Amino acid sequence: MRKGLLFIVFIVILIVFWPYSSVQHAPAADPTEFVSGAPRLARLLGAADSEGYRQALTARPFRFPEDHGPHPEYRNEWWYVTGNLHGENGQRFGFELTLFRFSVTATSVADDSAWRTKQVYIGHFAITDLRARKFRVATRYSRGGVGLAGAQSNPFRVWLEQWELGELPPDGGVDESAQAWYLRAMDDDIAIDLTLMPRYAPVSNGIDGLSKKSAAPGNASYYYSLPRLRTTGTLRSGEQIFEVSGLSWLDREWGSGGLSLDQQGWDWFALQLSDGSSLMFYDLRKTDGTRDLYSAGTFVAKDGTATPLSRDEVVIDVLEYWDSPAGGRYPMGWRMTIASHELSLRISPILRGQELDTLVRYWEGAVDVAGERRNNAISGRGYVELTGYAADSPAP
Amino acid sequence: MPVLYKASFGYLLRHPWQLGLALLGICIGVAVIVAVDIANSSSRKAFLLSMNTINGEASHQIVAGPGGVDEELYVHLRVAGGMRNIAPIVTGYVSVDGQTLQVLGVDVFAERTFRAYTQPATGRRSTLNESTFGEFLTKPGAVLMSSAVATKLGLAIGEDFTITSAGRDYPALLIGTTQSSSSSAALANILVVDIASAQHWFDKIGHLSRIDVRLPADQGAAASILAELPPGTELLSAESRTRSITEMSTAFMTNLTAMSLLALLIGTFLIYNSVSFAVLQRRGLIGVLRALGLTRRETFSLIVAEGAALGIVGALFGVLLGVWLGEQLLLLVSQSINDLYFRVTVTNVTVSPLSLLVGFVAGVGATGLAAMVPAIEASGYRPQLSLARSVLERRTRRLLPSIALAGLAAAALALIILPLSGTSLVAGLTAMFLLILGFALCIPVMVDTVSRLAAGVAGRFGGATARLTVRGVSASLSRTGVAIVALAVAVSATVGVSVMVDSFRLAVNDWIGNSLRADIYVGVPGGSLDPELVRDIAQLPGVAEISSSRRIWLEMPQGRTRVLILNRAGPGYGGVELLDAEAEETWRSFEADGAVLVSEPYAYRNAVARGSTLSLNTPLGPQAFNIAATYRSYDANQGTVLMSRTTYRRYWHDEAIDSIGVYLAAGAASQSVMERMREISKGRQSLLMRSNRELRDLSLQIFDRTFVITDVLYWLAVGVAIIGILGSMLALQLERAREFAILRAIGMTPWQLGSMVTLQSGFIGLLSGLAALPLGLLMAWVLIDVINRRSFGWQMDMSIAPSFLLTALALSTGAALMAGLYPAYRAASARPALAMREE
Repeated sequence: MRKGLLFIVFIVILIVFWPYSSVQHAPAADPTEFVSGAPRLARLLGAADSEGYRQALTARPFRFPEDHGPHPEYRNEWWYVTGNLHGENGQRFGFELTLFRFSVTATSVADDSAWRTKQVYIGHFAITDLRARKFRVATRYSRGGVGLAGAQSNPFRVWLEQWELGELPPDGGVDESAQAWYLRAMDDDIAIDLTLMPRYAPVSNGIDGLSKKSAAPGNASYYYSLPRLRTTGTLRSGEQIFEVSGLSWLDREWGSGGLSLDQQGWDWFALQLSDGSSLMFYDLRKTDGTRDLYSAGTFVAKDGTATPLSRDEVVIDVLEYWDSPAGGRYPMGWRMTIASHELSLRISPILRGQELDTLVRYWEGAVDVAGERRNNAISGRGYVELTGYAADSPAP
Repeated sequence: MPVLYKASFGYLLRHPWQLGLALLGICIGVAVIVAVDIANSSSRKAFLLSMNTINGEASHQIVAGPGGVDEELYVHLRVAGGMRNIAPIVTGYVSVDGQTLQVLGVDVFAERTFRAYTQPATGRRSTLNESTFGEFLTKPGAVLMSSAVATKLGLAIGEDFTITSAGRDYPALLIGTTQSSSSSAALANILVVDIASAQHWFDKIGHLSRIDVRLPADQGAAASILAELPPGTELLSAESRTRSITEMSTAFMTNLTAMSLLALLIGTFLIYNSVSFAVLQRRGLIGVLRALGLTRRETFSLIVAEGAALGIVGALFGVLLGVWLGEQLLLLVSQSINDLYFRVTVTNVTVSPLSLLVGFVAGVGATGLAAMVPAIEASGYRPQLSLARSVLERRTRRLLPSIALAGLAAAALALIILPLSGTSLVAGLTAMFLLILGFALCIPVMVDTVSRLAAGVAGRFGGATARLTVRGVSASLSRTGVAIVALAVAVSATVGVSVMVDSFRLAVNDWIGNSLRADIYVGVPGGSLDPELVRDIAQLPGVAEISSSRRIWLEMPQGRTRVLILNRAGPGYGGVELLDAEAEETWRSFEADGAVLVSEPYAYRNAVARGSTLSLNTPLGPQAFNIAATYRSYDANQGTVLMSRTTYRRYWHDEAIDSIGVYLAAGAASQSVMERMREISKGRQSLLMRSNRELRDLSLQIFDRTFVITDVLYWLAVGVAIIGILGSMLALQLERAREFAILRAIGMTPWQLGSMVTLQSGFIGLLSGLAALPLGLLMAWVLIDVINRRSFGWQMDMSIAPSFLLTALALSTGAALMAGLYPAYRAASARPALAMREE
């Protein structure tokens, strides 16, 4: 579930508030009109009608490279890459690039015109430059037709105009055991051009890849991750270009469901630890402040072996809070204890203001990890996503 | 000093007719100027507004030849080139319930920074489940429109309707209405659809009408885009493209403005007339005032102030009248622009303060100038007694030769300007006004001579009364002269314009008759014919041959060129009249050597002729084409290049046919062939069919419609002149009250006196008419050979129908007779004893 779901919210908001999203500053929409009485995200997500789409109901084995490519019969799908990078002189960067596919109708729309399509692509691109204390965001929207945006599995490639993730030709001179990928995105003052090398095969989340978000059947997705992608390349922040290297994380998820109405938002953690292990955990929060039963995660050992994490295995205490200047109070520092893996971690953002003020406001940023595993010191880096905290209306 | 003004005010009030007519003259002159300006600028503004609305924030446009821009270019620029400030557009015209509407096919994702109004304000269902956005994107024929258009078409959100494009019907669905807070007038005829629907409707699968581009001000950005463009594709500034379209109508509008100035010119004569009278009648009073110590300068400023006051009041009313008149003219002007140049729907009358100010200043200025001459005269009066009338007349007569000389000088200046000014339209118009002015200044001398001669003749046949009547005209030349000049100029304008329009109409009629050789013409509104249907038509029984044509615009940074692609039928290109080359050789090189022909307006405007070359933008890049000949054409556009289908195929991959000419086999009836064509086109494309006769009539109808506005303008001018005659006859009658009383006293009956006044007025009209004829013909010549040529590049022979000349004479005489009736009645019914009494 997690972060990608946010984009269903984007789409729904785009649809509902399209009238207000024009160039000129049209009167800001008051979303409370639509969502009064229920948490906005859940309301919006729950409202997205999944009828007619294929549903993620039962576990299925993933097949590659096919499953890297698109699954247009499902309503939504995303390719989600986050990573922590450093320059040659130790400059610290974080990046996020999300390419999201959304189908606006379940019915077929065959047409002579190459422009006719029901697929919409949305992209979010953000770079955190710690030394400059800058967090820069860019967004893109396009139809998935005529070649402007799209996805394919052989060779794997997904693109939204100039932003693109795909596999490199096999003779790229890299390690032959795994397929190397490229990732490119640019905007006015940020850009990345990276090569990603997986360390092991994709890891299935949930139960054999089926990740359930609530009790309702179909409120689920197929979900796999590539938690440790060795990353090299260049990064531009402002005027400067840096040679960078580090670790990235790819999340892939597709399905046709949404949130249930009593879910307020989620906190998502993706952590790469210094001992070679990784862990992903999403904490679904209910409107009454409690943790949802369907909160879950995956622990991935150094060799790529995955173990599911249940809600009760993971204890999270919020240590600090941050008040967004745009409104809303976010947790901003956690202690995560996982007794089953003898892990105790302290997670803190490298920069507080990593909030994306787009149609839906959310926080997604690079974090540092410090703690112990089996009484040995351990450190790490990762990404955290926080949704459902921003109380006010989306800026048109 | 206020006493003086009081005196002058009192005088004007005591002569309400004088006052009223002077005001009316100024008023109409100003009104016409203001009205024409409002009509012109409203049409132009409406067009610019709709262009600007459609262009949105685009600073540039990428355009290509007839097929449009390849959509791959757009994808390439965005995906490989990373350009973000570009938006694809597929546009065209459709009809819904008989109304023509522009369709804007957009990609909503690219629109956000270009056009706000492509975002809907009200959707089909504002629930979250169903979405306007999704329908817009995925439903073929999903349409957004402003709520005003929806109301006009009687459509509710969610309602299905049918649009017709290029003779084909397509289903459409109104899914929402757009925000119409800003520039709602310009949105009045726009349907917004997804680009896929538009491609479908306009048969543009794979192509775009254009790519809108937002470029930063620096030229480097433009250069980097140009580097990416394939040959035949151009990056043009949106502003210059709009300008080049509006420029087509500039000559038309300039001509209208010139007509309005003519009305003011005639109005100025009128003002001069009125002010002079006011001065002349008070010469006694002024003489006394001068004796009492009024200086020359004070006298001068008194008269000028009086004129200015008249001017201000008259011009104020004129401005008000002009606004009303402008709304009436607007319909005529925009209709003509639609017929001839580009589609414009004027929903708003634009009344700019500037145009009102210009009209006002022109009115007051003209009055000031007109009052200047009498003011100078008045300040010249001796301080003792007033001048005897005879003295005044003698003085006027002494002046006649110098006035005529000045007139000759003006005419000579005009004749010098004409050959020296090349193709300048403004210089041509200036020369025309100088000619009119020059001729007008010679009229008094002519009148004097003619009436002296005529007096002798009249005396021999009609006795003393007749002699008195005729001689009276030249005896009171200081007053009648100006009225005669005003009427003559107005009538000459009718002669000039009628002769020009008539010559033009004859030429156009011949040209159309000569050009239209086929028996039936077939096309579809706003699109191309289905090629298969064309093949089927050719196979129909009764059809002997088919010719085809295609009209395209080629755009280059220096402007747009209209190209007409012809494929001849068996009978050949008989319909094209060559002006400077021999037919056989011309058509051979046209067919085989890739040579082109240019229309006469094109040749004139671009200073090319047989033997020169011209460059056209082709998909293979700019290519030079030899010009084989110039051909006659009266198209209103800036000229056309004629190209053979064979040549066209060599460069363009475009087999589209816009219209065909069907030549019937011997014995075939055009009605039954049209019936058959209608049958085989059923369900494929609804054809627009016109027989040769119908098309010819339609063309002439459009022609006539264009000149309706000209008619209106010159009738206004004639109206001004008739008011002038009425005014001067009235004044004359007032002034000659004592003279008339003496005539009554020595035995003239009221009836005789009345007849004399009426006839005198009629004689003035006759003289004006006679003077108007040569001036009118001169004007016709200038209009045909200078103004039309410089405006449109057309050349035509002057043809003079005697009926126009007779009509003009009848008009001026009749009008003057009518104008004489009331003064005659007043003169006849005056009591002689009262009139003779000295103050």
